[in-house]
Amino acid sequence: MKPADLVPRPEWYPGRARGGWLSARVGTALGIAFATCFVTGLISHFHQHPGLFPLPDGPVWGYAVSQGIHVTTGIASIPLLAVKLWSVAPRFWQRPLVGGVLRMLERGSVLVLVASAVFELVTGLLNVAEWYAFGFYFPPVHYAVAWLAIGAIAVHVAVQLPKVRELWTAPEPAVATGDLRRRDVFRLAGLGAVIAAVTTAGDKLPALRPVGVLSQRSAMGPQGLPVNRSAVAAGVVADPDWQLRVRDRGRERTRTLADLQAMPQHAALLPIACVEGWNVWATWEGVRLSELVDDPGGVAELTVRSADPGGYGVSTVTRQTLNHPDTLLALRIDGEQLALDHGFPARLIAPNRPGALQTKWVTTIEVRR
Amino acid sequence: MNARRRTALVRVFRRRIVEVRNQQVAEVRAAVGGLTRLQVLLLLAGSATIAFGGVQMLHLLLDRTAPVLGVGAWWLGGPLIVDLLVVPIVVITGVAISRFIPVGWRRDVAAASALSLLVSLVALPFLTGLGRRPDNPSLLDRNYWAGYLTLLVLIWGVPLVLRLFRRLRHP
Repeated sequence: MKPADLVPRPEWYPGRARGGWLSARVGTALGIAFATCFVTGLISHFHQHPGLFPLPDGPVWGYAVSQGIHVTTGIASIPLLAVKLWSVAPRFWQRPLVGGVLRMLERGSVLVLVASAVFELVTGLLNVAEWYAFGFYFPPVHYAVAWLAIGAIAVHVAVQLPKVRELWTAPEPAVATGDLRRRDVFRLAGLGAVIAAVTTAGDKLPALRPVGVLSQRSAMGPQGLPVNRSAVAAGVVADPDWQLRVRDRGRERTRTLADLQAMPQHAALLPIACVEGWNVWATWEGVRLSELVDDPGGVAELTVRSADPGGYGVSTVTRQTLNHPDTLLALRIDGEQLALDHGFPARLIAPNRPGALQTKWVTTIEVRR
Repeated sequence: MNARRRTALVRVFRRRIVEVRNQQVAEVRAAVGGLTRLQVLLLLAGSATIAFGGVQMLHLLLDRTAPVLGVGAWWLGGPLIVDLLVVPIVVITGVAISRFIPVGWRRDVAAASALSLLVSLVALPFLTGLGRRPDNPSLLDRNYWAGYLTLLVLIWGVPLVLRLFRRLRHP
């Protein structure tokens, strides 16, 4: 026996339902799912890096919906990708293992595809479960690999397109009696995707809360609202001498909580929409952010700073968001003073914006003109 | 080895290189020539996108946002674990089902096993509870094991109940 005989061969895989008929169909579904994930992921990236691409300040539920779709489609892709990889698994051992230039290019592009696709789904799911087993800072890496994944998908589609067209109209090959047919496996992949989506979406759609048994949250918390970063995690304690500082044109103006409470108060029904996918609506009350600065129409952007020294303790507010009537420095939630975990004494709340940018425990507003 | 023999060998070797090169060029030409316009467009756009992603990743690696070993292991680990570990286990399980489960039950058992695995992949990170933090009781605040076991009972129970129904109607 030669050493080469020990390398598995495609024929060693006995599964009778796998192969082109199934791969083409699951692959098409996965392509649509990854394209959806990519576009919604890009929207989220643009939200978190204002200035790269202009985004509208509405509808108020915009980010809740786009990020809910991003996370749910990604999680639903896990069963699809698993079935797809099972279906094509023998091809890994196809001869020649290395081959000529074309074969190497093809194998290389499939390696980028499989590695990046698995990477995106695994790190994304672990991030939702807040199990940071991977040990690196998630957002920039997930973003960079998304480009690898979507590019490799385009290359893969280009290479497989003629075959996929053929397979979509080809009759389904028969299997032995009692075995799962290809269409059964395709349905199982779909059913797995639906179960994954529904059971993890209880924190996105209130109607799914009872069946959302694998959701990241039950969408409960202090004052009926979940918390992502607690005061303890941010190292923030309630400060009885708290003052809001507004820095503008080289001057600084301070206001106490009583000053803010004496200003005209506005209410807005807005969701907190987390990058991790969940959203919960609340009625926020407080001072319009635009009423805290002079001539808000002449502002280029604001930097809102928090007592939280971490990376999420700063956020940028564009002129457009600043001038939206629902953009508030919130002091109350559903009529009650903010809980410390929700940003007491004051937090930013604005429409169509990731929760990570709805800065809590606001201390300073810097105006750039 | 004398000089004449060496020259002959070098000549054979050179000829072989030229042969392989010509063959490869012909192969690539034939493949590229057979492409439709849409395929060419997708290939170019896809390659450019991969290059863009690669440059982004290189930046992250160079400015130490992303550790080379950590990201590399998680990236390459996917295909390696899938192809060398998970798929073989699934294949062996499939063989065991077709060997030991009676024909009449095989399809239901295979389907329920596959669906259990698919759901488990999604459930696992929640079941470990390793993301829980004492400062934030609103995070991961559901009973994931209860939900997961209910799902498994449904996945295995529903086909069983359907079978019983069928047997009652056509005894």
